[in-house]
Formats: sequence, C-alpha cells, structure tokens
Amino acid sequence: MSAGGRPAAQPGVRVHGATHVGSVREANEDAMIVDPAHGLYAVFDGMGGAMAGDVASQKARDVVKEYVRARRSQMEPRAMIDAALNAASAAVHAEALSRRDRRGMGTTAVVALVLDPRRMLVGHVGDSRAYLLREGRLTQLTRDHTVVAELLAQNAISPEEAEVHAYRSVLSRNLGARPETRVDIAEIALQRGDRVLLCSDGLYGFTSTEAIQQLLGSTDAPEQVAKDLIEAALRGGGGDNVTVVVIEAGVATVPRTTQLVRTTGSISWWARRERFFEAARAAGLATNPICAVLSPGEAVEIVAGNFVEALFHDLEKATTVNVWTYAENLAHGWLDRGGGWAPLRLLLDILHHSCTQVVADVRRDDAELALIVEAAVTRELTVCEMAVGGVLGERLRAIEAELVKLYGERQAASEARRVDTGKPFLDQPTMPFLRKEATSEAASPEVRPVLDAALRAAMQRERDPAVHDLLTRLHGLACEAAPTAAVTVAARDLFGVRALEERAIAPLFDALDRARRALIGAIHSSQGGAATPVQVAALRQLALAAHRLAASISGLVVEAAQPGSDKLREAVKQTSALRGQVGKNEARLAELERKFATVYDPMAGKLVDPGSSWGGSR
Amino acid sequence: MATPADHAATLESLRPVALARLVEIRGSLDHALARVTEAEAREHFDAVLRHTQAYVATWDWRLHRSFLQSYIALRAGDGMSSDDVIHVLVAVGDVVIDLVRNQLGGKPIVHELVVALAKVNAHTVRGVIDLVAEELERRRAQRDQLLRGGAP
Amino acid sequence: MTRTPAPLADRVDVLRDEVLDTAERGDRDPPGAEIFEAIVRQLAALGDSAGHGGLDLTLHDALARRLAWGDTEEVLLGDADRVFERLVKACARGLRDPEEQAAVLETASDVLTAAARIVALAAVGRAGRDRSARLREEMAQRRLRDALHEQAQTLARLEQEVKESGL
Repeated sequence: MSAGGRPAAQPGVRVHGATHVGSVREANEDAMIVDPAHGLYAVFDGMGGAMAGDVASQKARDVVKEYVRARRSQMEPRAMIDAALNAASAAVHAEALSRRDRRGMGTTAVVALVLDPRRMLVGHVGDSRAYLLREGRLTQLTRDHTVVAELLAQNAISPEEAEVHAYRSVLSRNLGARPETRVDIAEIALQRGDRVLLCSDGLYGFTSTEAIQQLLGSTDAPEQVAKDLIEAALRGGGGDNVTVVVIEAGVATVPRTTQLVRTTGSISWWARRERFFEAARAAGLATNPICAVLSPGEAVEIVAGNFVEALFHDLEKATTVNVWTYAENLAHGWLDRGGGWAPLRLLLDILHHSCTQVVADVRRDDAELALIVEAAVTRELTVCEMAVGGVLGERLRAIEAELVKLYGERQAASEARRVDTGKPFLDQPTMPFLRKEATSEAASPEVRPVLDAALRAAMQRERDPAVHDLLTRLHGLACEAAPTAAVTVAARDLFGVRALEERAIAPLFDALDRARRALIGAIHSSQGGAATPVQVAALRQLALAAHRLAASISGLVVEAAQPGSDKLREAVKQTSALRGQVGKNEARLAELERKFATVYDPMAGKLVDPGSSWGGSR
Repeated sequence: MATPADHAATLESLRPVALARLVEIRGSLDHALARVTEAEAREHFDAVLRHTQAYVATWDWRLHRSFLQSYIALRAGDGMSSDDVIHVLVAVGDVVIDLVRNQLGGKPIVHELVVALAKVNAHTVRGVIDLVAEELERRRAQRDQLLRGGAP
Repeated sequence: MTRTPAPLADRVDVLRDEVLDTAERGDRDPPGAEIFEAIVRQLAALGDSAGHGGLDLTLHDALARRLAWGDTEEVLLGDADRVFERLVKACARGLRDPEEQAAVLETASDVLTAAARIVALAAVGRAGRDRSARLREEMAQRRLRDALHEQAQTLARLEQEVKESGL
C-alpha cells in the first residue's frame, strides 16, 4: 500500500490519501493528488488495458496538478477545474492517438479543490466518486457518468435493474475518449466535522455503503480511516485497484445546546424512563399487533425498553445511530412477517406519545430544559421515522421493479405478435443505412464453383436446420447480384416472429455466425495451401453478404423497437403536461396558503383577524 | 410564550438568509439539486420555506399532506426517490434550525421555534411515509393482479 | 539485407485515413473509428500466441458509448457499412498477398457481424428499457393525478376559507 498526505497547509483541514493495487490486478491504474498547499485533491482511475490505463491516469494527474498549480491564484476556481480536466482529456486523447496500443485508453477523475475550510468545489468525470459524511449521514456528492447512471437519472431503469444492467460498467464520459469533455462541478459548503471522501470504484465496488459510512464516521484520524477503507475493500475481494483520499474539515466543536442535551438532557431522560414505560403501557403498547408474540411485560421491557435505551445513548453522544438501528430492525422484522404500515405507525405514535409525557414531566421541573429535550427527542423520533421510511421506500422500489419486470415480459410477448403485421415489408420505410439502390455484384464464373463447393461442405458439417437455412441464404446472397430488397426479404424471413428479447434475438446471430464461419472454413480448405485470388474473391462475396444480412437483421430489430420508443415519448409528453399542471396549481396554492396562514389561528382552531398578519415583508 | 404567527413571522425574517444558505449548499443535499441552476434551486427552496412558514402558522395537516404529495410527484420526475425527498426536506429543516440557533442567539423564542421546526420535520417524514405506504399497497395489488393475468 | 515486413495490423492501420475518410470527416473521432480500430486490434491479436477470440469488450464499450452519447443505431450501422466498403477497396489496392487480403476480409467480417449483433442487442435492451420507462411514466402519471386531485380539493377549501375571512 502506498500512502500520501502531508500536514495540510490550509488551517482547519486534515487530509490523507492511500492507494492499493488490490488482490487481483497486476498493476495499479489508479493515480491521486494530495496537494494541501494548493488545496487540491484528486483520484483518477485509468482504463484501456495493456498498461495503457496507468498511462492515462498518470498523464491526467500530471496535467491537472500542473494546471492548478500554475493558475490557482489567477483563475476563477470553477472555471479552472473545468479547464484543467479538459486539458487532461486533450492530453490523454492525444497520447492515445499517438500509439496504437494506447487507443481507447482513458481515465476517470474526481477532483476536490478546498477553497477555504468552509467551501469546496468537487468536479468529476466518470465513475470515481466523492462522498460527504455529515453528522453520521453519508451522501454521495457525485453522480456516476455511466450509461446506466444516466438511464437511472432519466428514470428509464430502476436501481435494481441498474445493478444487473449489461452496461453498468460502461462509462458515458471519461477523460481521453474525446479531446474535450463535460465536467460536473458542485460547490459544497463545509461544516466543522464534515468528512469528504474521494475514491475509485475499487472501494465502493467491493465495500458496502454502510461500511464506508461507518469507517468514515469513526473518530480515527484521516490516516487510519484511509487505511481502514482500503482494508475493507481488500476484504471485500479487492477485485480492482483501490484509491481513497479522506479530507476532514476541522475538528467538530460541540455547541452549547448539544452539551446540555448530552449531560443534563440525557440524565433527565434516563431518570424518567419509568414514566415512559407507564405512558407506553397506558397507550396500549402491549396490544399492538407487533407485540402480539410478547407478554405485556415483555412488550414494555423489550420494545419500549430498547427504545428508551437507544434514545438515551443517542442523546448522550448526540449521534443518530442507535435509534436508527432500532427503528430499522423493528420495521424489517415486522414487514418481513407480512405486517403492514398501520400497526407500525400506531407503535411509533405510542413511542411519540410516551416521549411527550416524559417531556411534560421535565417541564414541571425546568421549562427551558424541557424545550431543549423536546427538540432533541423530536429529532430522534424523526430519525426513527426516517429509518422506517427508508425500509418502506426500499420495499416500494423492489415491488415497482417487480411490476416493471412482469409488465415488460408481458409487453415483449405482445410486441412480438405485433411485429408480424403482415404488411408488405418492402413497402415500409426501413434501414436507411443500407442504400436502397445498392446491389452487390454477382460472383464471377470462376468464383461461383468455390462458393458452391463451400456450401456443400458446410452443409455436410452442420446439422442444425437453422444454420442450414442461413448457409443457403448466405450462399445465395454471395452468388447473385442481390439488391437491398433481396437482403431485407431474407432478413425478414429469418427474423420471423420473435419477441424483442435477448434470448430470442441472440440465437439468430449465433446461427449466422456459425454459418458464416463454416463457409469461410470451407472456402479455405477448398484449394489447400496458401490463399488464391479466387478464394479471396469468394471470401469478399461472402463477407459482404454476411455483413449485409447481419446489418439487415439488426435494422429489423431496431425498427421493431421503434413503436415502443414512440409510445414512451408520448408518455413522457403526457407526464410533462401533468407536471406542468401540478406545478401551476402549486404556485396558486402557495399564494392561497400564505393568505390562509394570516387568517387561521391553530390555537383557537378558527379564522382570526387578518390584521394580525405575520407575513408583512413578503 | 410566542404564538404560531410569531414563529412564522420570525421564520419570514430569516427566509432570505436561509435561502442563500440552502442555495449555497445544495450540492451537499441531493444530486438532483446539485445539477439545477442557482435560480431553479432558489425557486425550489423558496417554495419549501414558504410552505414551512405557512405550516408553522396553521399546523394544518391536510395542507401539509397535499404539499408533500405534490412535492413527491414533482420530484420523482427529477429522479428523487421517497428517501431522497425525506432527506432533502429534513435537511432543509435542519438548516433552518441551525440558522435559528446561530442568528437569534439568546432570544427567548429560539427554543420554541427549534421545537416547532423539529416537529415540522417529524410531520414531514410521517407524511411522506404515509404516502409511500399507500403507494406500496396499491403496487402490491397491481402486482397480484398481473400475476393473476389481469391488466396492471 | 532483407527487410522484414511490418506486421499486417500495422499495414492496415496505415490505411486509417483513407478508410475513415479523415480528410472529409476530420481526424478527431471520425465516424466508424471504433469499427476500424476493432479490426486492427483483432488483426494484431492474430499474431499473438494467446490468440484473441471471445467478445471484443472494447468494441462493445465503444458502441455503447456512442449510443449513450446520442448516436442512433442506424447511424452506427451506416458507419460500419461505409468502413467495410472502403476497407475492402483500400486493402485490394494496398495489400498484394492474397493470404493477407483473406485475413483482413475474415477479420472485417467477424467485426462487422459482431457490431451488428451488439447494435441489435442494444436495441433489444433499449426496447426493454423503453417498456420499463413507459410503465414508470405511467406510475409517475398516477402519482401526479393523485396530487392534482388532492390539490383541487385543497384549492377549493382554501378559496372558501379565504373568501369567508373577507381577505
């Protein structure tokens, strides 16, 4: 493991970077920048095979570093990051063009520029990520530039579909694929105690988000955190190079209110736990369906007791982990048993009601402390509900994905029926890429026997009727002067009635490949020894025929997919119109709501004199 | 003790600062918000802040629920899930709570207003969960219908 | 002294400008470059003892990226068509040895059919995604209609309340 990181030149910022080749790869194609003097931190993840990946990432690293160092004090920071990454893209692209073994190489980049201890810019291209950990909550600051992430952002697929998508690792943007690139840049307002993590996919691809959150949220110094994160990725398989840069925006100072909550607040909460149990008992905790398997005593002891304890720990440490875990386990346990939301809601209400009783008790002794405890406890109840909301949201996404899958399968089958419209295929405008007037030349008299012999030999070798059909068609197209129409008719016959699914389309291409290879093999062995000009001519005829046929089949698939795209476009238009209507109503409602708020007194439960308006300056 | 109208009026006085702060840190709140322009983000947060003020003044649950329903429906088009909605709205509430504490210092209304805003957050999460749970039931019914061979 | 001819892949690579028509289409990512490069890569691999074989992931990624950048499947197939036509002509002129011409033709045929397959399966994938997206749109529409319904009720109530207040 190599590590980088010097004492930060920027006050209030501590940083450490580390990188590891991983357990599987032979070379480290990642690169990083840890430059506290310029507030510049970055991670690059190169790609391109044959040692080109590390060339790309190192080139980009050098260009970005030099660019920022030279212009840090002169350029507007946002424009500078954009320009630096574009300069890196141009440099990698030029390098790729200069040598064949480097063609196609590229690199991702995630760059953080700390402007001051309160502000940071994050720019990125590709799927290296930046995360922010604030008050125990992990937020991904960057959105991967992968084909799948783009689809996900357009709501074209669900997160579950994204997990298994064929293009999940295909980048839609990188440095080097083109001389210029589009960079996403966001400004982050830092708070004391925030931690920002830059990393390559070798980290998040082999480590759970929960583990990243836990390790980044530890009280260890950035050096230890970086080391732990890399070890976590290695334990997860270490299937890729892994690089992390941990940036910490100052050490958190605890505000006075939090200190009060941690000391006096938590003590008064704990001291009144019996009051909580009593309230929970009176509110019918034991009769809640979630507690059905427990005795009344156990219900209070386990369900209410665990809550009181979790909340006490949270108040003491002013973090949100315990109550979150409590609520998440409760929700999972109940919903996994087939339970619904209503009993869970009721249980949360009982907990809330019991909290209110405790706060009322505190109020009798100290009104100001009661308000502080009430705010802290309400916050904890909110965290509880957020955890439950996460569990329900997860289930909703899962069932929506299931619905989409079921619906998709049914639609695919019905589309297959619709493709076979019986409409004369040649009348349909189709395959603009195959020029209508294009007609291949017929095989010459000396080539024809070679093709005939190849067909006979291939037919003897192949047993599959589907391949036989293709052998005959390829032979025919290779021998005759075939206009585009003839190719499309052949493609149409072969396509037949097929569902627009991979399992229906792929076998057609498999058969075409087998037929093509069988004919090529037969042409080669037809005259023995080195290739002759006649054989070359036969191969040319065959290659052209195979290409035209494959492209025609492909065109048919594209065409069959078109009505679905049209319908989607129409649906998107309808959704957009509805959004417009909702937005318009929302504006109208906001205006009315403002007026309503000036005349309605929730304490009196009636309309009040508009003269007591609170919104004078609006 | 201050009235709900007082709370709303205090929030109104803090709205410009809250708005500026939220626009500034939008990149830390959500991807969808990180991508929008400053003007769009301002409009978005302003609507949330104004509604929060109205809710603190009226505590009208039906209004809040209607707002949340529209918010979820609109934000879904920006690629935000119900979890994202919860996190963004709670984060907005947290930012305002921080501002109340920092800007109003020792004023007597601070603790009350912090409790009120904490309650808004709690109600918001509950409102979103209610809507998610209803949606979940509907989707389950649709799934069962599809499995039985009916139309979704 | 006998000159050793450059490997076949290198000699085909020399034809890049001609095949991709860079004079007309520019040197930066001319259309069909991914097809031509896949052919050169595969020709270079012919000499490797390890062989090549299998799916060319680089070609797969390059085509997927073009689709992601907004090129249509038709454009991709059209580019492939043009590259094939120009390559066949360029090789007929540029390569004397029939054995080499045969190797280029076979390789080009492999790459072209692979490209057609990739494009077709991408369209299949798109069709699936479109189906999913359509249902998601319908779900979103349902949510929006519910919101509209709720809004209509709230609007009516607020209008009434505000009217009664005399504002």
